[in-house]
Amino acid sequence: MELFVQSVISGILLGGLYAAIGVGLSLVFGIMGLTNIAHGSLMILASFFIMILSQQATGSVILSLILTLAIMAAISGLAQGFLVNRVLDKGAEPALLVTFGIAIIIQNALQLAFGADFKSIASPFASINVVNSKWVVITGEYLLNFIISVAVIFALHFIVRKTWFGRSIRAASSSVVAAELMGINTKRTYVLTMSLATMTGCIGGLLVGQTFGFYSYSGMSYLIIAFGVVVIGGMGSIVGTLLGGVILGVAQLLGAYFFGSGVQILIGYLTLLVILTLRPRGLLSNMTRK
Amino acid sequence: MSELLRVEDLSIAFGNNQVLKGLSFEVNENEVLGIIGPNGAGKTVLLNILTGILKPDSGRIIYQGEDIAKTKIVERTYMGIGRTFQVPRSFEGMSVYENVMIGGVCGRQMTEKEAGAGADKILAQINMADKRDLLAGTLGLLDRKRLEIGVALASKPRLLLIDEAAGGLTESEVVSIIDIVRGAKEQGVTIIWIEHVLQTMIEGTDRTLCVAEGRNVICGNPRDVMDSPEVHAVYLGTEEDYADEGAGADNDIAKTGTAQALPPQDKTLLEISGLNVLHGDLQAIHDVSMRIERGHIVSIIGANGAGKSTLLNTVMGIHNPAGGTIVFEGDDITGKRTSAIAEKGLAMTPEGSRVFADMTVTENLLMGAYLPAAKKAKTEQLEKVFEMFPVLKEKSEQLASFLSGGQRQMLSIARAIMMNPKVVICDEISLGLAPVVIQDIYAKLKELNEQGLTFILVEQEIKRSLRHSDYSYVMVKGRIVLEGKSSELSRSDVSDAYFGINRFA
Repeated sequence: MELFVQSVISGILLGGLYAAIGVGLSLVFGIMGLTNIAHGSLMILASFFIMILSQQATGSVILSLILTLAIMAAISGLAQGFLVNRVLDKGAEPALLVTFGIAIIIQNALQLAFGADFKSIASPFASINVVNSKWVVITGEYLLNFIISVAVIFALHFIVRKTWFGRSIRAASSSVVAAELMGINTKRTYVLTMSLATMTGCIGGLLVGQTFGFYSYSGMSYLIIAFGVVVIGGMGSIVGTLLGGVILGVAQLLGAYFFGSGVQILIGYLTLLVILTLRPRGLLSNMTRK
Repeated sequence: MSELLRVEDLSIAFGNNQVLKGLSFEVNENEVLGIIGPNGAGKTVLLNILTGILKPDSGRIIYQGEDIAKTKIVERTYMGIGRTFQVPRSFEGMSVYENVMIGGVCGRQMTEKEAGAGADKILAQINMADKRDLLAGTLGLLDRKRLEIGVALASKPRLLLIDEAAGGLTESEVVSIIDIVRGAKEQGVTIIWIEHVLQTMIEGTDRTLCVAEGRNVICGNPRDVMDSPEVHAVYLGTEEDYADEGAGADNDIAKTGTAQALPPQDKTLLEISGLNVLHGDLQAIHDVSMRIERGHIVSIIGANGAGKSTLLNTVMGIHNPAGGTIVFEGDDITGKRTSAIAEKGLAMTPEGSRVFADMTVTENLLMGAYLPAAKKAKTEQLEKVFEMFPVLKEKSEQLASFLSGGQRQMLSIARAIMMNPKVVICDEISLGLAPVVIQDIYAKLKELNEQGLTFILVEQEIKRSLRHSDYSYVMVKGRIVLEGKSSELSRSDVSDAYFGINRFA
């Protein structure tokens, strides 16, 4: 019984992190109808930047994260502006292929530069137990992951709902023509959206880098998690991502509790299948696509 | 001549909208019957009823002496009723020959050999024998339209229904479509030809039926029908409607007076010169030039497919022109990005209103004030549009998706006003709205115009356009065929331009 409670609590906390991984994918899909295959790889690229910067330049994870946010916003914005935007008018498939290409380039560049060794970012909270009772143990790291993730999602939700920039990206997602007629340069909006989405990915990259570790090809496996989260929560719904992450996290850890850790990933995706059968558009699909 | 098809008292409603109201007509064996009518007359619905896609609420369809109103689509195909589609539906990955074969093999269950022999004959008939092995996807518009008729003929129909074969074609191309239709008739096929391009009817059909608001207006010899006062009334409005215009004309004089007080170069707000626009292989706009004066309401009149929306979308940078220039207040805006054009002070209410459905009414209006210049004045502007459209104030916190069609149009106009623009382009703002609502919207436009705002209105309804505007342009098939002060445009000029009576004579 103790283990069951522990599984649920850990699942929820893990789910928060999953949500942070998925929310950028969801945002890009909701606003431009683009499935960004490069999302996971951009995230891992950020993990590498944070690791290198903190080890060799700044000595501080926080400072490295801030630098990485700026670097990654620029990289992803340029990729959107010079590559993806060019093909976005031609339908969803060409743009999807471009992001696939970007993912492969990032993976191979990382492979070339750092080899295939497993890396991680040091976390000061890894061995501190915030709660340590008979029923449940919560590490500082997991709790912090969850808090940061929830904060990211609500910050993003606030930006999209309440700011002029958020209104302009929602307008562009509702009707490109009408948004342009209002004076909104939708191509520039897409660039900013991609930068914003990738910045959430940077935070995801930091957290997974501390919690699980990574190597040059990890991007794809985190992309799969992001897909699961976004599909369960509803493509394009930001708050839905949090729900999707928690469901996937809890399903995985309960799967491990009942059937052994060998099948925990499988149980997670079986849950995804069941939810998709019942609600094909995901649980909270509130953003309309054009 | 014996009768092949008789339609009796056909009625159908969608919700509250009674689309057909007791439509009746008959087609004789081996006759070409043309059906014309303004948008919303019920032509497409009629065609869908004849092919079995829709079931009428009441009325009978007698084909070869039997009532077929309750039979299924495929049964009607086997009875020998074939059709073409407005947008050609040929199989793009197959050759021309294969497309025609498919019509025979599947439509009439012929063997491959029979269908193959038939297919070559049909290719000759539609003048495409030399294009036998080309892929359908590589064809130009005329060839795709021809092929569409060829595929329908391959199933050897007794009755062929043609849906808009001439739309988007040039005059000489239309003549070749007419030839194919006449050729099919000579082989004994009976044809019902529904068409927006009125000019095709005189040469192309034996009898023409005009339908409006779901009822027969007049039927008979095509030339007589085109010249009849009934048909002119349907498309152009009646003499009394023109008499009403007196009030509008007085206004014109007053306003022209103020416009003349400005130096001449300041009078022109927007100037379009020699504009050409292509849609793929189809030329949608031919050498169009226009001058829009400050403070005027200018209307652009034309039937469906005349190129009105394309012209406006090109002005707003949604389409790119193939040639020509668009100058706004002395700045060349040709081919600029839409958002940059909007920044110069051009606003448009796009066709179908395009409100932001998942935003509230207030948020929609605020989007109008997105640009820095408008953002500063957003509070006063918001008050102004709420005063002008009280219904929007009532619904200010509701999502735009919950608004009715008329309310969405008002929101679309109000959102454009929020931009504090110099000119507002309105694309078919009256489409699908109740007359009371239309009156209301036009009253608001007039009010805004009196405050100095310039409008460009696109309408299909001629009488409304002329009544509400200072200056009018008439477009037919991508060209301007007539222009002048709305109060001075003679009725016969407009009707000649619109019906193009002499174009094929």
